[in-house]
Amino acid sequence: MLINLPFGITALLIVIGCVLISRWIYKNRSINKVSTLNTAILLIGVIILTNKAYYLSSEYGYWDAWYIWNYHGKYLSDPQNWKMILSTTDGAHPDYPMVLPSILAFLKNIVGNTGYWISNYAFHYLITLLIPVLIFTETFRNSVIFSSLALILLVTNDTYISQGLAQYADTLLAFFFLCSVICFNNRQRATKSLIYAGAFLGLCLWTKNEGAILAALFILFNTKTLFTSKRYRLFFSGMAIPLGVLLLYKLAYAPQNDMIAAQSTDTYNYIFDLNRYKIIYNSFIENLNSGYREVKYGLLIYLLLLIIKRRLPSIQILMVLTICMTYMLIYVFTYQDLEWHLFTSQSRLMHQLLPVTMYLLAKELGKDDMITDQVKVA
Amino acid sequence: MKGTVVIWLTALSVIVSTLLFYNKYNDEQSEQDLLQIGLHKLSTSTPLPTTVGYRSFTFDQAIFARSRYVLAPHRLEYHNEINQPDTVLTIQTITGNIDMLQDFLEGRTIIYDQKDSIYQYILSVPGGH
Repeated sequence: MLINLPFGITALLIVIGCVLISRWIYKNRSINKVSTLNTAILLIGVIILTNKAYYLSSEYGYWDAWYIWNYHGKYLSDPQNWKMILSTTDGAHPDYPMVLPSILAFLKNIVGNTGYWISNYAFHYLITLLIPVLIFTETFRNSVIFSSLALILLVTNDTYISQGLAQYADTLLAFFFLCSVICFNNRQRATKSLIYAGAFLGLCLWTKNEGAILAALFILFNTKTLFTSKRYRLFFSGMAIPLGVLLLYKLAYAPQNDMIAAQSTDTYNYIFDLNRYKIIYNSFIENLNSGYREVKYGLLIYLLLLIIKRRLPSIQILMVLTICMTYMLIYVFTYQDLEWHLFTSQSRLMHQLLPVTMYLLAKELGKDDMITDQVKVA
Repeated sequence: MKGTVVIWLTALSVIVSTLLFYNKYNDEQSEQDLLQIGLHKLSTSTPLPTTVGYRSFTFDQAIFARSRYVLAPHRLEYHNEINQPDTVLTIQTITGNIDMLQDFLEGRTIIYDQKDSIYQYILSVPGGH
């Protein structure tokens, strides 16, 4: 509950607030027109995902759903006992950020104890669906072919859908990061969308610890854009609330993160262990080939076109590749059994970057001058 | 056609998918459902302390994770050599290792003992025979 207001009023205030902010930011924008062809493609994509989700869904989600996220959510739905989550042990990770548990707790307080498993599914399905829909609606103006490809490749990717419906926080993080990049790219049409870009990046921080890597590298790669014309004021004003909440939680409540607590001279020495890099690389390639082939081929085509056109890659593609490499560096320093750690989480880290990579590829490959007009549908 | 079509399509898909999901799982009773029902009965029929120990001889961590969720806000922690809360929940598949269970329950008083078609739920405290 917000400043001790009743639950219903808090929910209403949040909705009204979001609507008012959206109207203020986009007051001069005309409504996007969607052609019949685009609607038909989108409809096909939505039907495919709806159908596939039926077969790939899991009633209660997978391992971490129960071990971490739903468990935290249950505590947060209980105003009397929520602080008990801070003293839980046995892999409950009470230091983890709380966006997903907060949403699950919010929904649980609406539907009650008997219907929470349905509301959990509905929420995760919504996020899994919104990602391809958002990518399509944001890129079809550049190229119907590449936006449709991105949509169809995502909604037919069993790995993506299974991860999305696993009831983990990775898809939500991927969604927020995608939204942040899209809002940032929309700053030419509405400068105030930088507020949203900052807010979504702040939500990445408050969704998973990896959000810190996303936020740091996002700001680093966009320093020039942000710090000219005082745009950073808009951006950081959006980021302020989630960042403030995260800092309050981390500094005043949460115990230390297990990965950070376990760092020692031994773990720093891992940096010189070449065998660890080899194991990480092999696992990465295996995951890439098993669940993310479309990204591999998309990037290869993009690279090939860059060579043909004698161009440098887009700064945002470089940002995503750097994030991916930084993610892999986590494994170099892990105190846990490396192979076990890779097996349990590497595919999820790649899943976090899948949507933004698909969006950027659709956007970059769909640019007017990237492919000849004969191939591209305007 | 306006952009609001996208919003309606999304909303419709969420509704349809949720209904399909509900129809798929509502009548099905999985092992997890059984576990939740069993633990719910336990928590409503026996007062539990803030921290409950957990001991199992089925070597299935998923049972622990699910039990911990169902029993929250009571804290469920592994009962081991270092951490030994008084009240201990033991969940055993009925085809599990009975000898190990009996060894553990030696010198403890059973305060709750129920079975379903898969699991046996035993709550015990130190003392007794």
